[in-house]
Amino acid sequence: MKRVISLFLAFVLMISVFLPMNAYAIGDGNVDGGGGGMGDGTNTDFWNTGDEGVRVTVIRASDHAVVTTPIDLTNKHPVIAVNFNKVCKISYTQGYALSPDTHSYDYVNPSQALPKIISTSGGNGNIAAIKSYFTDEQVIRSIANLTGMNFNVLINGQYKLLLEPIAYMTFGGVKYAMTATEAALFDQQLGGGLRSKMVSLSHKNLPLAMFLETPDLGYPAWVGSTTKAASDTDIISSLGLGIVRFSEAEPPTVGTTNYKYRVNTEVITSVTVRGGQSDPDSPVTVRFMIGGQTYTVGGVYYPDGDSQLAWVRWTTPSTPQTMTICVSVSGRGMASEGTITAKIVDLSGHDPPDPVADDRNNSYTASPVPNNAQKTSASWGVWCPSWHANWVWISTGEDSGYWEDTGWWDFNWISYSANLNASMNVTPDAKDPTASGKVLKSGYGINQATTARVSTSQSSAVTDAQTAVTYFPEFEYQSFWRLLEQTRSGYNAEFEFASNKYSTYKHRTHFTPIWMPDGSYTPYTYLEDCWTPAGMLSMNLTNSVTIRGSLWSDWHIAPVTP
Amino acid sequence: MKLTDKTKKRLTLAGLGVLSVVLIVAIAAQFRTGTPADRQADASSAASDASVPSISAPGATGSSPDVSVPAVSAPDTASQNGSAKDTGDSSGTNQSIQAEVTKPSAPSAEAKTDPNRTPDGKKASKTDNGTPTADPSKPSTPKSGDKKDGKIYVPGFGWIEDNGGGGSGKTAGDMYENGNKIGNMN
Repeated sequence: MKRVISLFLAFVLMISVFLPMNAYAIGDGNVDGGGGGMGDGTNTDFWNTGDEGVRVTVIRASDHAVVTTPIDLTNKHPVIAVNFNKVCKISYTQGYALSPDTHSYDYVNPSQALPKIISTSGGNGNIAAIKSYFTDEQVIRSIANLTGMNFNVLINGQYKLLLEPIAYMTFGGVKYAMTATEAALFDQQLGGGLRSKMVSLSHKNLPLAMFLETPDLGYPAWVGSTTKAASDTDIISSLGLGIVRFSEAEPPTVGTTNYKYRVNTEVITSVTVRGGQSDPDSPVTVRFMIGGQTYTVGGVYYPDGDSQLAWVRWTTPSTPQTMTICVSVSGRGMASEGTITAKIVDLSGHDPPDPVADDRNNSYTASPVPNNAQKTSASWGVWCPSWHANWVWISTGEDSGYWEDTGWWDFNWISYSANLNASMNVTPDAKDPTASGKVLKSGYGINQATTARVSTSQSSAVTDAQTAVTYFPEFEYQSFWRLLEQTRSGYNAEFEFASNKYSTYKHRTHFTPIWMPDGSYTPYTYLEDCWTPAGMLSMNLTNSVTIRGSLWSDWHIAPVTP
Repeated sequence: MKLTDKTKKRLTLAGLGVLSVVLIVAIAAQFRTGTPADRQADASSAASDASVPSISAPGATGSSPDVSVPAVSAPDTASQNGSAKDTGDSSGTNQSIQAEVTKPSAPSAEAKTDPNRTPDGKKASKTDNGTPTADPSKPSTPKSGDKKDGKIYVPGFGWIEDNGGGGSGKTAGDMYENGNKIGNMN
């Protein structure tokens, strides 16, 4: 009998070993000691250590284009109810909207397990192992295979790998897969609803699992706290990403403390305000002191622990200068910048010299067309508070009393975006007697028509595209250029060459050099000064005509008919 | 009735047998939830292989590689939110990024002292100790994860088509460290 009981107990013990066990946030070992647990840690809002992955996307370094569909690597076999599609941080930065998907979630299990990605102790103590893994030749070869990218192309220095930590978390009883950026965007969509439940994961350990030490791909190095929960804005702009590069990092772009504006241009200058909570009961007001004028900006609200962009729209002076803009905040908030240095430049006065028949350039070789930084879309948002009433009866005696409102402010995130579309067309001048279509002889003039269309959901915060400058191959796309004249303003702006003082007919023309060899003649136009709270939109534009023959062939000497 | 040792033994074995069957069924039920997803994973792996974007290597000339960039459109987030109206004011020196938000105006003295109704019109009833309390209103929005008519409720997005979720994975057998570090993450 004893033997039977022993066998039975052994059997029960074996079963208990194989039964799956759920780990919940409350009282679980995945809670750091420095700042709280995984949100409320209820059975509808929890995360288990190790439920994580990494999203990998190939990015072209020159223009930050997303060149492959992202892949999600994980050691787990997650069963996900809702994911947000395979969208990388750069796409979100470019204005892609968060979109839930309930199809089966695709993932890849590496044969060598990924190192631990999400630390539960703040920051990431495992970053060395992560770096070792994702900079390894064989791992990168495998990523190349999975993304369909040729390995040698991938590592030739023109591409980078964008890594993003992913968490598989249960929120509101629904299992989600989301990157740090998606978590922040989702939280904005919920007006702080995710943060209120899962702050230690969604706003601390997930975004701080990876961040940049060196600015790259337009994202700054993170210099903020590595132990405290971050705001949605900070996560979207700076956290939850790693970059594997095969060449040098990009030089850092001009920050918000150093704007470069053109003269006589309507611009938007922004700062980030944070600290405490700003609501209609205790609002913050931002003041910008610009050129002796004080601009007061209101309507700046944000929930506790988050932040809000505040911006001012103003017009730059007509003369080049360096301006210091002082920013002050009344209330509990603080601005990201107390002073902003703005350099105002004048791009006019660099028109090409008068072309003459004797111009020669026998050593001409075509220069590469410039590729300046361009940004064709931007997104931002506004926290909008609404009062949540909570009436409580205050008794003042038997059958007497009054209702008192002990409510609070809820916050809704309202998203806005702006997009810039533009085109450029060069054609032979109407006075060219021998031009045909887009073919002309060298020495004759060309005209240009550039159109810039801006679309936005917040027109009060977006200017039209105001500046277009055309550069030419004969000047190696530098030294001389033409500041185009805006012939139509607004969100459907049009630009042409200004009237040419050397043109007999004062046409809006640019003369091609008479020595220009046969072939494609490609002017380059940089369209800019479409300002939004999230920076300037700009675009590189090119268009060509074909040079065949020269103006001399249209001239001959003959006796005058008597 | 006195049971013999043999009978006791048989009864014990029969009891253990029944218990084992119950436990096996219980264990099988625990594993069943993962099985469909795994099967689905195998089936869809082939499909995901086929959809990997094709990117060609550059020629030996060193010219720019011919890489097709998928169009990433920026949907109008305003239309997604539905209520993203522009209420900002950027004219002059007194500007605002949105219209001023104010608290609802204070209710009348009469409304504040009516124990049967809260000032915002909700019906109130007395608790056991006689204190009026607003009746709990039915939640106007569904709960996260609620399902109805082939849709699932996702907070922030409302009712969206429910395709059942799940997971479909494949193994990258060639993803391991060979020790040759070629990238830079510093």
